Amino acid sequence: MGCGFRRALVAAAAFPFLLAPAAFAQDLLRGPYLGKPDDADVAVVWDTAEPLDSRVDYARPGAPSAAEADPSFVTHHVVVLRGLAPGATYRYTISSGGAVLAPAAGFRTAGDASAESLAFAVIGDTSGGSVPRAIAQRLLASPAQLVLHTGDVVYPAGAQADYTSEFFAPMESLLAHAPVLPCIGNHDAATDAAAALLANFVLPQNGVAPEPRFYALRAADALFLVLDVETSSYGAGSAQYRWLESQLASSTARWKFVVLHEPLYSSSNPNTLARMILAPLFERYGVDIVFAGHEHLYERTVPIHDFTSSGPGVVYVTEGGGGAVLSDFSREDYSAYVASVYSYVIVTISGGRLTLTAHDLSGNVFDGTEISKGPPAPRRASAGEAAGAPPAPAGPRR
Amino acid sequence: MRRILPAAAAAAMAIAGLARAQEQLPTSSIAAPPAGGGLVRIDLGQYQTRSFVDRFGQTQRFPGLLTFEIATLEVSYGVSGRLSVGALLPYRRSTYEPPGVREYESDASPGAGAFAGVRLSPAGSASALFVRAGYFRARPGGDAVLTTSDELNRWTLSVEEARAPSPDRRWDWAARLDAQYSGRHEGEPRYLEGTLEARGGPRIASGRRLEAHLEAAASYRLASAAIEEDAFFHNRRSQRAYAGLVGSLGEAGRADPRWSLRLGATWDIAARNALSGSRFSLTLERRF
Repeated sequence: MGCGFRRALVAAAAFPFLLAPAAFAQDLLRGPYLGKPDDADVAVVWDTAEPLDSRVDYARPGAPSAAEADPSFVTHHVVVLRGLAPGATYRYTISSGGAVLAPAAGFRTAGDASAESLAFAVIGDTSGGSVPRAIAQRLLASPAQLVLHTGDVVYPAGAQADYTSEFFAPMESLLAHAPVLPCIGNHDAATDAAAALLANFVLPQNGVAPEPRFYALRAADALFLVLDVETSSYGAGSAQYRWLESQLASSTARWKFVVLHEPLYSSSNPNTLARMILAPLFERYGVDIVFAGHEHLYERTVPIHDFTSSGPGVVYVTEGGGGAVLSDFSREDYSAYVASVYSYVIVTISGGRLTLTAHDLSGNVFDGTEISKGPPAPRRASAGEAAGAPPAPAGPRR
Repeated sequence: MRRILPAAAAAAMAIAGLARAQEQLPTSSIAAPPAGGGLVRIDLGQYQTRSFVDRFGQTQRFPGLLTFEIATLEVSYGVSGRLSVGALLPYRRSTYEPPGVREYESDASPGAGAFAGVRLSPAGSASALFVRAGYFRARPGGDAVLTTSDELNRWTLSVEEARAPSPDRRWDWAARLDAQYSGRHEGEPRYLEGTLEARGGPRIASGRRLEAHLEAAASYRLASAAIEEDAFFHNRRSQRAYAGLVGSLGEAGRADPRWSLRLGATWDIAARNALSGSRFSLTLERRF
């Protein structure tokens, strides 16, 4: 064995993500893709045909590599990378059974609470292969650090058997580089109450329910609250409602976003029930934008307050143009823009300035808006607290 | 000619469409006016709820109280002993009081309708069988949080069989089947609704001029969407049943009582993708 070859082996062992694609094993069924177990950490996920161990080698550019490994033999591999630097770029490779399974990929972590800049994308109702594939390619070239999915990840019924062909394969180019954070859609819930979605995605725990059917994430100066209006109770007094109010009331984030599946305001098919229950809460605690899907179109409302479209209020965006058959609509008075179009949304935040742009599959911007605001107001007591009610379920302040 | 045409158009709209109220109250019935006579009925209803039961059976509570009130004036004329025609005009008020948001209130007429009814059973039989067909023209509404019109122009068909009034009746009973159809709404190709209602009970008091009955009432409604109280809640299949009591007071000893008063209180049960609450209703009928 020549000295040069030995050096190459050593280099490969130290930086397995530098290996060429030809060396990849055939055991990989799905992945790698990213998850968010909490605000700071990133999970790397992949599936193999045979039970194997798990290893992720990762490094920042120019920094020494690190590794996380799990010796247990599994087919669904979840490796959590902890202690990542906020706002940093990482490269990583996945290995099982001593073999590197996929080309090196990279991701960028969101900034911590002190960071003022953030970019994220919103997609929804992904179906049909070609549209999600096109959206994934566009998002890969975008500045989005995370992707919010407004639900109905997999048609027709959210079955595990359909996940690879309907979601993971078309979105493959994106999933290795940015975590996709879904909310539960009615199609996702059609099989075993969204069991496949919960099994596939690594999501933050909410602290009040055994599964993360609803959850919160803090990234930079933004709070994301992802709700479940399909399989969990969200009425006043429910665990989710109290959790939501607690999160909103205690948040120090300047920007607050809500993601749920069915739109509260829509020119196609609004969920009036959710509007009546949740909209007062969104308004009371200054939610900036509520993202929904369900209707297969793009829509942005004017700001809405007290159920009317006058003055400042909450903007409702429906982004359901991820590939399912487009919806008809009859434009409502509160609609600022509505179009049945395959699309995705990019939101960029810089301090107190937010820019939202809606893009077609060619990347062209067909709608947009800007919101400017000052620092967050001092925390107000919630209605329940003011009335002397027992405190809502506690969670980390975000 | 310029006067005749609008009048003819208005008359045609009034009688070409045929209808019953969108929200049939537990105290309502398909009463027929006497031949050559008229019947006026006033339905008053108040429905209150704090919760909606979703399709999984989970109760979703509203942060505030919802109150739906409706008043319907119905006037009909007996063309013959079997055929009657009429029109109705409901008026609705809806309020919602969530904390932290101004109280929301809206009131307006949901629309107007007209109907034609046929009595199928022969005179003098122990029970009366009616068929009524109608059309309800809804007023354009918009997308308010609580609409007073669901914007559904609907065709209706009702069949009711009831114990015929007689001097010696000790029991009252009635059963009715309603079907409604409307075309496209909220992105859905059609709206369908079917309701089966029944009530029955004994005479509890009688005198020379008045008699009173107390009936148990029950209903089951299945609809292709959760459209209730003129408000659209959801586009998925909806069901709701109720159980309750209806008390009635009317003239004693007449086969065709000139007036009657009914009071009802019902409570929803077995709701799925539907509101769940309670309703108080009052119906006053007067024959001329």
